[in-house]
Amino acid sequence: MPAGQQLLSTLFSHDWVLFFIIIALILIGIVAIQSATVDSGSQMKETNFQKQIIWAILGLLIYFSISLINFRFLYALAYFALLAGILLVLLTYIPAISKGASGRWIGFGGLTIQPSEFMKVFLIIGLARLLTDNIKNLSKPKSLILPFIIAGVVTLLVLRQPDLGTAMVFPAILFPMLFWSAVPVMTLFLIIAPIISLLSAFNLISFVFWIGLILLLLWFARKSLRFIVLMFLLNVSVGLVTPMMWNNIRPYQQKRILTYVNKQLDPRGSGYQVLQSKVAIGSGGMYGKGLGDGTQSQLKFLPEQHTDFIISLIGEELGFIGVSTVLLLFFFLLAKIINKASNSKNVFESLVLIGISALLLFQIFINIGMTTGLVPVTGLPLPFISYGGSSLLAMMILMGLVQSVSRNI
Amino acid sequence: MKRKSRTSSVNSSKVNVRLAVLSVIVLAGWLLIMSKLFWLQVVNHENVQLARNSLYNQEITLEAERGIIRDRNGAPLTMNLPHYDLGAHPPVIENPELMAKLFSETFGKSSSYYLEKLLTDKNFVWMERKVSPAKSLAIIQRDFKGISAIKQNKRYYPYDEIAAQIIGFTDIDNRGIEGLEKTYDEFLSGADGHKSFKVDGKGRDLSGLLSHTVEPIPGGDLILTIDREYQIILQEEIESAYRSKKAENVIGIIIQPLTGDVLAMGSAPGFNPNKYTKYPVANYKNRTITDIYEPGSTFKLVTATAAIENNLYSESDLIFCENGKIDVSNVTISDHRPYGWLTFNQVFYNSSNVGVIKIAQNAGRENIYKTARGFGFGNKTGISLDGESNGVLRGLKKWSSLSLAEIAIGYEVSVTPLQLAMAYAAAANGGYLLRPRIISSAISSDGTVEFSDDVKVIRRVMSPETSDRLRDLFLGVVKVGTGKKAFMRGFRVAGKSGTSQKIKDGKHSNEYYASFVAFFPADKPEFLCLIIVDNPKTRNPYGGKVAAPIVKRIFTRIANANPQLFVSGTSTKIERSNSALRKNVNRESSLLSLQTVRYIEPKQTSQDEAIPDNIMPNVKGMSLRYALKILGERNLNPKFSGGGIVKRQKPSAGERVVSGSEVLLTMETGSE
Repeated sequence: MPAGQQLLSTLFSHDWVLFFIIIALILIGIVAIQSATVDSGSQMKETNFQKQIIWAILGLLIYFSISLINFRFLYALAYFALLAGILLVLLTYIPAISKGASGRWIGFGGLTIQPSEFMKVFLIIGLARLLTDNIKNLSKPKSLILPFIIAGVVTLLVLRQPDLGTAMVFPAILFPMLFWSAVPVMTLFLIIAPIISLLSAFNLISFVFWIGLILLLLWFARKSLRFIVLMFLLNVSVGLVTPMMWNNIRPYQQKRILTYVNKQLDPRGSGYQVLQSKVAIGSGGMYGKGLGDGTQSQLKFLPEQHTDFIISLIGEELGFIGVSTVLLLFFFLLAKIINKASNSKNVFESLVLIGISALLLFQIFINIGMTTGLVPVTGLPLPFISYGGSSLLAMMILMGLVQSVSRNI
Repeated sequence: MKRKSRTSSVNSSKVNVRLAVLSVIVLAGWLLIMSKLFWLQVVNHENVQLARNSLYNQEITLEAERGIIRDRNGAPLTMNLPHYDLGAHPPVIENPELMAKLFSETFGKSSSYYLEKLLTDKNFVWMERKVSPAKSLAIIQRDFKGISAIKQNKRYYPYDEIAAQIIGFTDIDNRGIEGLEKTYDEFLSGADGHKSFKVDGKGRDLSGLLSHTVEPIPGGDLILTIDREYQIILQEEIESAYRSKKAENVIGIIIQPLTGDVLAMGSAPGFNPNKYTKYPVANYKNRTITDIYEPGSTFKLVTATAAIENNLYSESDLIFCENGKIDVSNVTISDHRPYGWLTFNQVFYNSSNVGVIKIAQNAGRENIYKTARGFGFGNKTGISLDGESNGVLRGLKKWSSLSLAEIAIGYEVSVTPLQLAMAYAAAANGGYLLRPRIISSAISSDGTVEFSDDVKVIRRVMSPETSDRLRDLFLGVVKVGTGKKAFMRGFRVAGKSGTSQKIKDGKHSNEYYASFVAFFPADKPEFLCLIIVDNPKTRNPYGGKVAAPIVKRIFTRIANANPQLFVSGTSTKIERSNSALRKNVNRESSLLSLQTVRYIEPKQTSQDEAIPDNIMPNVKGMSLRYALKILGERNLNPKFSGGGIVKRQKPSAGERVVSGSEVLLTMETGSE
């Protein structure tokens, strides 16, 4: 096939709707970042805006390159990618390379990247291969040990950086992928159960209700009595011990632990952040105050307004209409990817797409959820829109993969 | 391109189920977020707008200095001490642990106490409030980021319990919550100013152009009719009586009968307003106006006035006292001692219940009732203090067949101590019922007089002649009757004792109110004092035994402080009255000219400057404590040994003394 013809067929097979959705989201992000950093009194440098444009162009180049690769090639490299990702994250633990106060970044010369962002890509590919290779044995709990160890190690490494928000992304990728690769729902349920027991134990009624639900489900699943008792004891002991230990420590110690686990929940006031964010979004009203006219944002009430809290700025300046547009774009993007996943006849491809959907869904929901006070504040960027090169590049790699699949269909 | 080395083992129907589950999750999440956004941006939009405005408009209050309450001579009874409130803005504190440690070292509380305050979500917390400038300096001077020091004034009462029940006190935010501090809170507070400005999210002042300042207006001063010296005398005496008589309360009041000025009032046990939380709330009460009691024999004033005013008896008319017992409506009322024939005056000298009842019966219900009303019983006196009681004087229609007899001797009626004092003042001043004054004037911070409370005559209760006869009557009570313990050589003291059984559970009990009311000098009364001892634990609970000596001690100390009161060759004849006074009080207009207000323009200095510092004051006859207080205020250096009453002083009163010089005091020790 002549090169020109191949390029032409590539252009025709490219999913241009997907492409335009991505471009629209990136442009909205750039405009918002420009609005957030235009004020000369701000501590933000205006170069943030220029940097983001450079990242976007670089991202587009990577996106087009990735969209050309063959998935078989990806499949072959999957384990190597996983290993490389883990090594990259480990680099943040080396003081000489580690950059920034919170130990999430590594630097080479003038370039700073956040390995945990790329870890998302590598984990999706690695898990997809692992699950594809074991697809016939996944109903056996033993075959789940390796995926859990891999995801667990990655999660802990990122949690210790510390970066709770990104760390939570990895389990959020793992479970939907397991679900999609036909791991029995009961198995997944029993794995998640102790975590819910732990959380529900802080309220007696919810705890009793939850334990009752576990017993009822196990009973109807016709599990053996010995198994039911074992599960019951496990969940009850987790549920009883943790609150006891928790209540035995002083409030400020609790606060310190929470602060350690979640940097955003620090004494500088997550409550303050959320309040400011809600006020900013709410004051936007239906149509917003217009770009550059958001007093909350312009007066720097909003913390992290160009990164994690960028949706508050969009909410204030572009109103309900603006945020709805962003959400609608995300909705179409997700629908498209999930649709591709269900249409794909290839397990590996399908699992990669589901991993990407899970990642997107989780980040969108948690990010907008925390800016509107629906979920606790953890640091997670809004895909494509928040300022940050690593996040944008990782997303563009993933979108390139999506395109590469659609080209194959 | 060819595909499929690995085909899905998952059959397609199961894929569809999973797809459905995933789609539901995506849709649900999307709907949840959309509805939350709709709520915030469209439904709740207005409320959010309001919250927003409060976020970036910040305001600092500039506290107005509270006005000073002064005594009649301008001496300050309250002061404002500067202090600091230290606050922190936790979001801006760079090193909470270090800051907590610093506060802990400065103020002594544990460092975790401060750390807990600093590790909150709040934008602002108080670290320490009302701390002295000396202590706060260590922190203020270093000008830490996120620590703000707000200078404020702390109310201080330099005389501790003196006049506390009148003045009251303020709470930690300098709001008056008791007494005059509460009643005149608005006037004393002035108007706080404020500085408002806009800040950004990091707490930085956005622009000087946006800020605007309203300067505070200091509060005004209240000038009381209270005389600090007499207030100290009164409170020392009732406090010591409270302890020695093991009484429940001792209530005392000193007024100027010619003007109605309250010179001193209070009750023991008292309280120290600087640490008011350490005392029971009952001690805060100004019992002279809030408490009512059955007065007993002091109320015989009403019967005497009614009889004399209607010319029913001359002073020597004889009345048969039934040898101590009289039956009224099947109830026997008896005297403390049986009497036969007594003159009209002797009936009162001896406080014969039988005699007084017979006089009252002769005067008639209407006269007794009218006279009692005339004296103001059953109505508020109208003093400018909160919480005054009406007392109880039932209307004639509600009187039983026994009421006339009971009321004649001071039962079936209840009065406040102030009402009784004002009634006796009317008898002493020629017949005028006056409105008692506690505040003589209120002066706002710019010097204008907000109001000046003039002497106000409510009504004439009796003719001057009746007043003269009553004065002679009460002089006799002290000279030869139940008030002998109040007799002072060289002074003409007129008074009346009272003893009444306290009502407990609706019945008269074996507990008593012992009271004594007296004025002096009788011919030109300058001081009228009423003392009520509530339930004295003494063998003999009579007012003449328990309360009269207290009045005498108070009058003695007042006389010692006022050398002009010593009149040489004073007549001790009780029948004669001084015609000079009569000339004065006969004319209503002259009453006002008798005011003896010694008002001195209030000065900014906290020291009392009523008497020049370089003149030696008279401390003879004073208690050691009181003498030391006076000498201390003049910056003199007393030398003494022992305790009790000052017998001699060197240098003597009126000599010129240099500030800081020594004063030798000779004490008269032992029981007084």
